[in-house]
Amino acid sequence: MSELLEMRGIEIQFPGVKALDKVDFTLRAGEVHALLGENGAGKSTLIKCLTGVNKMDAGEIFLEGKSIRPTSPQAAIEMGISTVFQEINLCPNLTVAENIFVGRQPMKHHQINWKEINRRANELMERFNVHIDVTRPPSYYSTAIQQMVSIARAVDIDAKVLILDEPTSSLDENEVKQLFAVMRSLKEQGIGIIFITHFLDQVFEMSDRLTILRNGHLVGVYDIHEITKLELVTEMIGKDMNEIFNLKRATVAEDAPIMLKAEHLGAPGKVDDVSLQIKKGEMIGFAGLLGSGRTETAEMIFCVARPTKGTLEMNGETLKARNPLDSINHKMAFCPEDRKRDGIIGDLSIRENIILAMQAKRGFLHPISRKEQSEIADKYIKMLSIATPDAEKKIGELSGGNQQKVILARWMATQPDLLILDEPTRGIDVGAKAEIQRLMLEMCNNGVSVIFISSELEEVIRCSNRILIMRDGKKAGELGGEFGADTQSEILKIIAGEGASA
Amino acid sequence: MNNSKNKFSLALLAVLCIVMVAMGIWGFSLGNTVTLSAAELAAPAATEAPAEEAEAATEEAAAETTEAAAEEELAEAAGDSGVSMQESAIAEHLAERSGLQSFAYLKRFPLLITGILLGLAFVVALLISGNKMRMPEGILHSKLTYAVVAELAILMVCLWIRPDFFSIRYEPSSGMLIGSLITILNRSAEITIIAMGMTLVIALGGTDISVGALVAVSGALALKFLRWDIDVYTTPGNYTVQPFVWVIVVPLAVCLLMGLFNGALVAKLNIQPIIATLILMVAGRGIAQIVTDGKQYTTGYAPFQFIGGGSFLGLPMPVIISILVVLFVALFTRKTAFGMFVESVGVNRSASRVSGLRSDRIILIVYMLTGFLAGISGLIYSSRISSCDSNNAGLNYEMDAILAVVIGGTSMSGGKFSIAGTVIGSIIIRTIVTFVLYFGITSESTMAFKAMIIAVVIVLQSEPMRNWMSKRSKARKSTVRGEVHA
Repeated sequence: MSELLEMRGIEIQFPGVKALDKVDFTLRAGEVHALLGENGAGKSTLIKCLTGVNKMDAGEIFLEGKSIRPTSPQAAIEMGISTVFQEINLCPNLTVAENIFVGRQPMKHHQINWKEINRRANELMERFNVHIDVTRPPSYYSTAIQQMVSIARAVDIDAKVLILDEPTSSLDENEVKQLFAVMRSLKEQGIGIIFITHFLDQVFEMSDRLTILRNGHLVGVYDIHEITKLELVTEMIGKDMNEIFNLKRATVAEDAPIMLKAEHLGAPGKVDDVSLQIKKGEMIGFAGLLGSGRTETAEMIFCVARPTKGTLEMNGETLKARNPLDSINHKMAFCPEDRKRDGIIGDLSIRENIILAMQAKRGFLHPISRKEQSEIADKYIKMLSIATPDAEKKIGELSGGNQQKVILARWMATQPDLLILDEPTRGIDVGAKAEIQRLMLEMCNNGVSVIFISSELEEVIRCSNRILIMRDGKKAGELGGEFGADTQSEILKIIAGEGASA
Repeated sequence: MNNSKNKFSLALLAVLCIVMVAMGIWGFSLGNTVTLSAAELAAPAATEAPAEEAEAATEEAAAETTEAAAEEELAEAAGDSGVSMQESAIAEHLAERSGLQSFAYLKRFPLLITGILLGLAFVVALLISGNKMRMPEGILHSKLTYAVVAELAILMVCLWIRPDFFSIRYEPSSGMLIGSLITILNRSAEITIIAMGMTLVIALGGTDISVGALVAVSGALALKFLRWDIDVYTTPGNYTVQPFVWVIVVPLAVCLLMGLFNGALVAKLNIQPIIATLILMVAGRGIAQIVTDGKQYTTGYAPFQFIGGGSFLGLPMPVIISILVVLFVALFTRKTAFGMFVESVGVNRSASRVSGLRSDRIILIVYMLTGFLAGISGLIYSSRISSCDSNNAGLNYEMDAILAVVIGGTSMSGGKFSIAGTVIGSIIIRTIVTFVLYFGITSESTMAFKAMIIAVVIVLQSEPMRNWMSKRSKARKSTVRGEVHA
């Protein structure tokens, strides 16, 4: 089969690290090629090199046999290499149609031909089997639709190579199916798709071949039938999978004191009447669909948003928190769902990000000395094996998994009694995921109570002592005790509103 | 690796400081040879002879630097200063009897010490900020470097035009040091003080365009209180009726409240800072006019005039006040965690809140501080002109302050800020004005000329330019290394 795209001996040097070392990559026309690796393995760097964001220090790129050297994303697009990034970057103030055609509007008599724009946009979306009103802004539609619009825009520019960077991380199951249908039809049109994802099931469902990177090196290229899931993970992280996933749930003594007691929490339009109790050293999982009130409940407990009714008790003390600082002072900690918006302070260093909550707790008049800051930062960098040359690197320059670890370090440094983790493993790779789960359990065993929110039922079941299931802003059920093989289907039933409430 | 970078930047800063001190000494030696009054300088014919002397001095200084022992000499000079002081005391005594010649010689020592102190202050300022300012691509990638280089370049051109530019004289009658450098520091005081607050506001991702108007308000209030009782006013030395404290406290308090108003709009009502502060920018001058009934009051009250025209330890009061303000802000932000909190809120307010920062309170404090500093600046300004001017006091100060902050390397989008950078930025702006005056440029084209130089500085500091410079130096280094390896 002819090679559509060939990258040979790519090398990229960043200050202090070799991001890519002699990496080869090939893409055939009409195939979905998965690019896999842990955070910081060099996937994004390779893509950035292909789209002209990063300059390569050595190596060659051939597109349809011709040597190319993209110097900017714009140049790459003109050559036929389009990218859809993880974060949807559509302009919220333009309509769907305008978003698709911005920068290359069809003109008529030196004026924008609106009719033409809307007609063609409509046609394009129809082709994707998406029926929407293209004159509305993208924010009117779901994340999946927005993702489709981004893809439509990318494809409409006569793309030969389409790069999808984590396209499914914010989609639900149906939306993923919709996206995959689109990908299949693009495949039939002979477009080569580079598919980056952390969901291994999706890799096996969609891709034809896969390339694995580890620490900037090429580990191997496989046909999808040549490799099993376990082998794949082992290759990706360079360690035996079983070793990592051998996690034991925390043990909670019967007579362990109650850490947090929430009664009839509620806020109009968000959550209605949620009560829960967590014992010391217990991990409680929150399950439920996006928007079911999981996040909102967590935010109310931590007082990011104040509950309008109900009471909270922490360590037997009634809580009258007015802002997150009060909650921190009551030894709570909260890793928010949207890491970028509510978690990281992008321009500040890892050190500053780690000590931030601790410093906030002490107040600005009692600064932590520079030496102490560095010690704390270094301690957690080592403890959580955060991949960085030193603590002074900007957190914004780290990969997602490492950013998440820094946020976790920020809260661990405050030595909380209750840790609320909202989707701590979203968008990060298997290895980092297992590591974060291990850390959570370790903290439980040290007497910290954990609230663990995740969309992936599997990991909720694996780690939690009890699971609280939310539906439509209400507590729909609670499962405890031993979890068996049918626990997952039981939870799904409750989520769907079929199961009995506990 | 990080360490070596730090060492490199420190070494470069040290070299810069030595150059500054050397220039101070050089200028000082000129200052003693060129003993001309301003009137004489204006007449070109009179400058012939001193110019020759200046040339000789230039050669002397050049010879000194080629010996590359300037540093050691400095250390010696510093070490010996204790002894020298004693000597100078005796010699001064002799000088009183024997005449002016040896007296002129002896004046060197205090001036030399001043020069060294200036250099040291510069190092300290840079070190305070150096802790915070990470230089990811080395010193050639730091905006601060370009600001310093630009400042030095302008000073050099000034020196070329006026050989005695760096001379600093002690004027016993007024008890003040006199010289162009002192004048620059003196005249930049208002902007430096305001720019300190502006740095924090900009680090928060905002701007405060009301500071210029607050300067007018502060001045108007001060003059209003001075003129409360016209009869009292006309009798010199009879001010006890109207406690002088109010003349200081009321304007500052009002400006603090106006800052609180700005901060409340920004923090509590989430109004965009430029819009929120636009209100007082427009209203401020109106308020100032109401306070003074639309008149320009003047005063001859000496204690008030002292704020802008007096001196302490040989330095003009505005310089002293601005040094105190800079020290206060630098210590307040960097020795407490306040600076980090400001940066954190400036980068990501929502994440800061979740992490336990009370961002509202931080924003309020910063805007209040800025208002307060504008008030101080207003007192200095009105004291300088012994009058209040609702229309022109502090005119365009907000723009100069923003410019000083930006030249200093703080990004308008918020985040990391540099106090030392802002100080240099403010001095640059004033140096340019001085430069324009010395260049003999007509007043009509002053603004255009000022803009031209600022444009050059800004271009030098732009991201692509700095990338280009640091890349070039890297390329050069790597080729050198390559040769070594080969």
